[in-house]
Amino acid sequence: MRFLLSWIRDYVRLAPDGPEAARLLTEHAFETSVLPPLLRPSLKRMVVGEVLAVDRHPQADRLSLVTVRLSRKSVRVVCGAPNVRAGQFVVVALPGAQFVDGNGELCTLKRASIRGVASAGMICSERELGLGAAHDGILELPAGEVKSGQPVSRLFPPETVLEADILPNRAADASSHIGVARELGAILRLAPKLPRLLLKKVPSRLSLPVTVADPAHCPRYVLLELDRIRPGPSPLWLQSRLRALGIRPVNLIVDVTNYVLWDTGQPTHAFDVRALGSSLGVRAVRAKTGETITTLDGVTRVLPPGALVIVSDDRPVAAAGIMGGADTAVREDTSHIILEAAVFAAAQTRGTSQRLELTTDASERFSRGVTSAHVDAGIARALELLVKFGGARVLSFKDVAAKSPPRATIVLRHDHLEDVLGLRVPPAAVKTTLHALDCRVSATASAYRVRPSPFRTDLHLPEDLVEEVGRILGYARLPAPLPDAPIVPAVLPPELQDVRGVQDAMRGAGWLEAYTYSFMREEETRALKLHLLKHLGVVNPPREDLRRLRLSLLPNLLALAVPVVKKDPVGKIFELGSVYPVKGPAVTHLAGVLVRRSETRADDFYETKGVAEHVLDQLGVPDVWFDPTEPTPQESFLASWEEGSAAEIKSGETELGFVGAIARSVLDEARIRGSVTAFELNLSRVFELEKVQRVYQPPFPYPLIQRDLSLRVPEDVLVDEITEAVGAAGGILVQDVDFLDMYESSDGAERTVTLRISYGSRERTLRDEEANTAHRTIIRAVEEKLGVRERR
Amino acid sequence: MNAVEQFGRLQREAREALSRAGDAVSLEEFRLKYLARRGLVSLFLRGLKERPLPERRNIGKRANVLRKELMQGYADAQRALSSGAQRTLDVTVPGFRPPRGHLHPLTTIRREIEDLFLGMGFEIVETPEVEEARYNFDLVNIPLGHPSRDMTDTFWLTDGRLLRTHTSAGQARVMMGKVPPFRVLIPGRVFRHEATDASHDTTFYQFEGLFVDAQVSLADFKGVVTAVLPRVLHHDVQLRIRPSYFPFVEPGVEVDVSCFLCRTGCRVCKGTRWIEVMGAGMVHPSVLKNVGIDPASHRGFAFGGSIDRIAMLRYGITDIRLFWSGDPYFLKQF
Repeated sequence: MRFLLSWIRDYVRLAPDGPEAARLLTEHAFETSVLPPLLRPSLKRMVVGEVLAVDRHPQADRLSLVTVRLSRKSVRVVCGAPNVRAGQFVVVALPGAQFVDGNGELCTLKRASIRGVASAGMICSERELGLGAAHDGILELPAGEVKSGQPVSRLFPPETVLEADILPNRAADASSHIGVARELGAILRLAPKLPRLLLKKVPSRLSLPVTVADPAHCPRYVLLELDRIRPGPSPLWLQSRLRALGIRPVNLIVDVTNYVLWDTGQPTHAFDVRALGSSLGVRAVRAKTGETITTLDGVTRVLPPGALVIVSDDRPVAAAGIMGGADTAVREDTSHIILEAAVFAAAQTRGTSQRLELTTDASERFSRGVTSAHVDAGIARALELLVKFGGARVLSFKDVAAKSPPRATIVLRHDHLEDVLGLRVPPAAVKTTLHALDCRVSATASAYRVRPSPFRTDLHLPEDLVEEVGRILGYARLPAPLPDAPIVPAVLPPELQDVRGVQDAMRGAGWLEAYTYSFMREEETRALKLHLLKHLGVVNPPREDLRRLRLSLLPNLLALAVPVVKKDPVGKIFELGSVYPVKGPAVTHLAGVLVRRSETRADDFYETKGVAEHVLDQLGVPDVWFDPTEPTPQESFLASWEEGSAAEIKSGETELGFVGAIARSVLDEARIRGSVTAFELNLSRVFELEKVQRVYQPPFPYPLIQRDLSLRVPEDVLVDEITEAVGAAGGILVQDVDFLDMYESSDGAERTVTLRISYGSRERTLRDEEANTAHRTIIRAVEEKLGVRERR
Repeated sequence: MNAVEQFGRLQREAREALSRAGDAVSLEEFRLKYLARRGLVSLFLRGLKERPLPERRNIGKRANVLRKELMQGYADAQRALSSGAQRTLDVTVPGFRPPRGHLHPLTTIRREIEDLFLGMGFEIVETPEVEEARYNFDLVNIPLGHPSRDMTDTFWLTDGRLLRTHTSAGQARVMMGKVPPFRVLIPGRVFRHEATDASHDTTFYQFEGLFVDAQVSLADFKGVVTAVLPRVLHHDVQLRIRPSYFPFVEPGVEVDVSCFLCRTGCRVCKGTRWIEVMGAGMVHPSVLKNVGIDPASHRGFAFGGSIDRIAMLRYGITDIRLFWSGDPYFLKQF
């Protein structure tokens, strides 16, 4: 929201310059900055001119030849504006003057002939003067305030504009120049000269009957009838202030309502009495009637049921608190008005404004709450300005106010204030501060009874007042001690320790950690057939192809395959994160993809499997095995894995996840060239498992004898089966069986598996012959049982 | 891979292997792998037969030169070894490095933040990402129709729940299960339904801190962040606490740190020399009541910050969306 420093200085005369004011407001009230100044021409060689005559340009229909008086002499100027008329006072730029051109750049006016007629200068628009954006006509100066030939530099002093980010709790009281001045005054401890804007009672003999049908949503409704207002422009200073805020001056009455809004925070609306019927009222739009209104901006709008409207003879004349109707609006010749100021309920105004998709300065303020005090201030200020500059006469006044509960008094204990802030505060400072914020304060020995400012909507609790005192004194004054409380040592919970362990293990293995969205990408989800599973949907997804919460980490990792292999021939990426079942809490998963630009290799499977094993080993998961029989269970990936290159990861009978090559058909559907080998583990389930207790064992007391065993193995015999058979046949002398190596001929027909068997005894040193005997027994047993052959 | 690439790789690897072969065993391994009858060089030459003629002629010539070079090198190395002299290693050949993986920068920063608060006695607790409106809004003093619900736009789910818009959603869950005094840190993923740009994404990480005790003050909060923030940011920053508004705290404040990226104003501090890093305040009495803690006997402070934002400041990352890009070039730098 924008504020003019000059306007604030009306009330806080000694307010500092822009940057300092912004700093003070930021540190004590709300974030404020100084807007960079508009590009402005120097205004030298620009004078006021009086238009004496307007003639047609002989060569061009759209141009006119304007005779302008500049003090004593008159000159002829070519002008293209549609609104130039005799009798106007305008700004004439003479050759050598600077102005802002259509590209927003400064340029210098040169003597020129336009379509064969010499022009002595240029009549300026708002934009050319650097005052605003308007360029659809020339700027007209109010006749009474200027003389022809007068230099214009004094007429348009530069403005410092502050931009304040006023948060919802302060919107009611601070969305106005008076509100900001009150803050700045309190911060600077300069008593601001705030106007006491209270209306003297006028006999309420309004000619129109007024009914407020819905006092709950319109607790205050005030009408002021004025006539004999001189039609015409508002004073130049008032126009300039509106322009600096980006508001287009129109005429005195409209400008005053805008000015009052920015001055006091109270929106007001003026009706032309000529266009009103015989009554006025406030009611809600009835359901299904399809009531419409053509608003000031010329748009005809269907009013949503429940919205508040102002009606005259039951015909809508304004969308309450948002925008007035076009046909009852103030016109150029209007002199008799009814001025309205009211409190409309915040939530309802916000709702209507959203449904109409129409936001105005007024609706913004009502949406965030105005108070009865604003109404008084607004109507009084409007009256003052219309009397002073328009000669208005008060005809009548009507005030419809619902009974409101009296404002509660807040009791603030001094020790509570000091305890919450952690700061010693002199009692006098508390009183002064709250006083400066327009609160009524009476102090006892240890507490304050506080009646909050009637403009504030956010002060209800002692804590609210603690904030007021704290921020105005400044949080810079707070000491910064470490809390005076015993520290109980905190340790990372086991599950988070495990999470870190897993991430570290993956990193140590050379994998790259990625984060992806909790929304599953549609294309990859469908390729993996995950769309067949029940999922949590997003009602308002960030993108159309992100409308499911993820059930697996694989789709989004798969989506990374293409960009990853663009940079490297091989990429190994993992993610640890939540998946979201339809019912029950989120589940932590770990997934990894090994993506290769080219065809997959057998090693890819074993590398991916190896890293899954590594993680499970790190976590102490017991009895891990890989089940090749059913890699595609009903509850999951129906055809995601390449047949014969995938396995289910289990611990005992608990299913923990999958590892394998992603099926070619899936990759084709997801438009991935090259290959992807992947694993996914349900870590939440892993964390629930009883961990292997690592029990200390003393070192083996006697030397071990190791024998390697190479076996030619048929295709259908699994390594797991061989090691199991070796263990079973070996008897008590076998201490360990390790898988050493596997060699597969390229056609896969010939397979050699090498194991290393360690023999030993806990009682004595084993002799070679004993080991050899055991070894031969084993060989015979496995040859017989599995149809393998020892390879010599 | 075409023949030229294949040859280039063979040549590189073979030369490297020869230069590393510092003893008899590795030298023999080298010979078997590259120079033997079924070695890689011979296999490569034989494989050339299937290539078109011009390619064969060019590459074939170079491969023969390579073979001669390797045989010469092998002979030299063998002579040097048999003469008993220790062969000089080319110590500039890169060593065998173990594979190097990388943690996501948000993982790293999150751990640092967790560890700092652990050190100050804060327990780490995780609360749900899929949340009920009650916890995300109502219990933290954001009732229906409150202007604050405008400030954050929410992803709603088909079952009526939502994706939490802030880790403050965890406040009530944590406090309901605890008896004061306690100190808790809630890190985690949060979601906002807003347009993405260089500084906004639909998804990011926050941390929420809670400190509840009989006697605790806003000054204590200042003490804690004064200790923590310079360590989080790895810079000796100044702090500025200024008023702000969050419905679940009163007084509510925002914490700025002095800009450590510039001296005169930059894009990050927008010329103000201050960078906003945290929201905080004293837990609102209504929130305490909502979770069954008597505000007359206990107070607390709460604070929250964005892990993404701190990571961006720490590493000088200017686009928040990179965290979610999965771009290996990005990820490998951390």
